[in-house]
Amino acid sequence: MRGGITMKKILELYRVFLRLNVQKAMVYRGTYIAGVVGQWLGYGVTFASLYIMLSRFEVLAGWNRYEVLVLYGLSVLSYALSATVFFVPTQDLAMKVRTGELDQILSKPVHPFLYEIMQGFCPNYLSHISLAVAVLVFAFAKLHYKPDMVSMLYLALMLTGGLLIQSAVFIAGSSVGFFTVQDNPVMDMVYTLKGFVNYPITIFPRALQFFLTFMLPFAFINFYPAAMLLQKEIPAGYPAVLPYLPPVVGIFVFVLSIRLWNWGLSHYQGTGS
Amino acid sequence: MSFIEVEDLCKTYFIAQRSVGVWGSIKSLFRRTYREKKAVSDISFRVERGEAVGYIGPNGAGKSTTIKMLSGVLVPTSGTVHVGGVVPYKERKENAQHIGVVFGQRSQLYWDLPVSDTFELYEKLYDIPREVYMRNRDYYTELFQMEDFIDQPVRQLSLGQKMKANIAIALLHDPEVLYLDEPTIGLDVMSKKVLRESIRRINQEKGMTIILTTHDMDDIEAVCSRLILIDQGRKLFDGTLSRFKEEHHRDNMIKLEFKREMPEWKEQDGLSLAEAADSCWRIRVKREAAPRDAVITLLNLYNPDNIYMEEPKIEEIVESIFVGQ
Ligand SMILES: Nc1ncnc2c1ncn2[C@@H]1O[C@H](COP(=O)(O)OP(=O)(O)OP(=O)(O)O)[C@@H](O)[C@H]1O
Ligand SMILES: [Mg+2]
Repeated sequence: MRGGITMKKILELYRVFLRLNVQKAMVYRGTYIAGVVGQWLGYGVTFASLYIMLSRFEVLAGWNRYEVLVLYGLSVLSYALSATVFFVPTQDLAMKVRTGELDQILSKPVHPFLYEIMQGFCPNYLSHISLAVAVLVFAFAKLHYKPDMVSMLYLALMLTGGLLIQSAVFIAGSSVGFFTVQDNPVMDMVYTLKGFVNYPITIFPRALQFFLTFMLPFAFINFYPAAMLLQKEIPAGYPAVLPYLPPVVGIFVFVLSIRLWNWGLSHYQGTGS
Repeated sequence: MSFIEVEDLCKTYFIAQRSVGVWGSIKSLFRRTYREKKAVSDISFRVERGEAVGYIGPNGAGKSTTIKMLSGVLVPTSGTVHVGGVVPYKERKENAQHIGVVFGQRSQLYWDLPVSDTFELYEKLYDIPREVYMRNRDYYTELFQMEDFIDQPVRQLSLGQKMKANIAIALLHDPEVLYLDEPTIGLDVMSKKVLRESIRRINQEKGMTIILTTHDMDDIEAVCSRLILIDQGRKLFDGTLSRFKEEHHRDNMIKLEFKREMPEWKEQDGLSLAEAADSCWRIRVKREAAPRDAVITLLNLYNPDNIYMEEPKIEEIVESIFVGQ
């Protein structure tokens, strides 16, 4: 009996898939490069307009414009890192359910989620990642912020937490694809809410601060880590431990989203034809 | 215990009723109304190792649904399935290691990459020992005559070439059973012929169990020795091809050809003129009458230049079953 998937086998398989995906991107080299440059320009303009808009206000709830850029940089970086792995697998799910491709995936000797992840690696987010890093470096330089080893380690941990939260949004959102092939307005709402954390949540009403911390914990992606690094106020009366929690929150929502996905899968009943 | 055992298998689909508007789709996340569709009802059959079974029936009969339950893709609503002692949907991954599945309507190839790349991927995916992989790759490349196109990007291949590649890929890991859901769909006569011949050889040379669904009865005649006919989720017939022909035996047809002036038709017991064309007659022999006697009578009476027996085709038999309903 050959069954039983080992970590070694998964990594080897991932490597083969990775090679195929990169080869695929290289078939349309021109398109790929144009895509990366285009994304660069697109996101560059967004950064720039945020920057210009912020220069109208000296400070936003105690955050100067470079500090707000740190927020935005962290959010884009964690998003792009997560999207490299999860965007394609989660975006395509509803389509794959509809076309019956999932039937085919289910006839393979791997877990369909793992298969999707392996198949869906997307090298296109290099543009977001490089840009976000550039913006973070720029903002930290302007702030004369010299990160030491400890704060670098803290940042890496927090980024991992943010990445997990971003991933959970992708995964939970795609589980809806098991039930409906219609576009779901609930997910649009979730993404709009996620957009709020590009600004310090302390500028929003208390209810929204609560919501973004305890209901849909997007503030853990960037606000709490940045507040810690830049020594900013967190909402009054909130536990001082919150800035240390992003990795914990990340693991929690990530596991929850995987459960949701598997629950969706158990309701899968294929497509006709 | 047979290799494949299917007992009182049922599958009911629950079809969600469409919701309208934003509020409707929010509500539908929590509560939905369903319509039920019974796609497979109480189907039972057994298949031994090495058999080639044609699984046929009209559109919507439940063929694909059955194949998906056999391959572990779908969970039965009730009833049991065992394939090689494994319950496919419970041990989906274990089952997948031992089966090959091809859904003719879709492809598992990478559009922009050559077939050979997908081959390598499957070597890893199924954890195929190196020598087995090499042997099978060579064997199937030759069998399906893929030498010419195996290194070409898939997007440049014809439908027939893609189908061959898809079937070859499903076989690389030496599965014990091959499920083919409409493998000849959309192919031209020649490609169909090559494909049938290859599938037949896999069954005979490798002793591989094959379950094949199709709407082309020539596929069945070329590949299968056994037939399961279903309609609206229920089994109508299960047996050998020859028994199927016998049981649903209709009148034999004999064709007489004349290279000279046509004689005059005289009424005979048990014989009737079905069709009279320019230089030939098609004569219906009542099923009670022995074909041998009919041939002798016709030869004596009309002395035709040529005489042909027409085998009843299952295509026509199946058609008559559903037309007769
Ligand atoms: N995912 C699904 N959801 C709802 N109904 C389905 C689904 N899949 C199939 N059905 C219905 O179940 C019945 C059987 O479908 P199935 O695909 O098994 O038929 P089939 O015999 O393969 O037909 P065909 O020859 O057209 O491929 C059909 O009435 C079909 O509409
Ligand atoms: Mg079908």
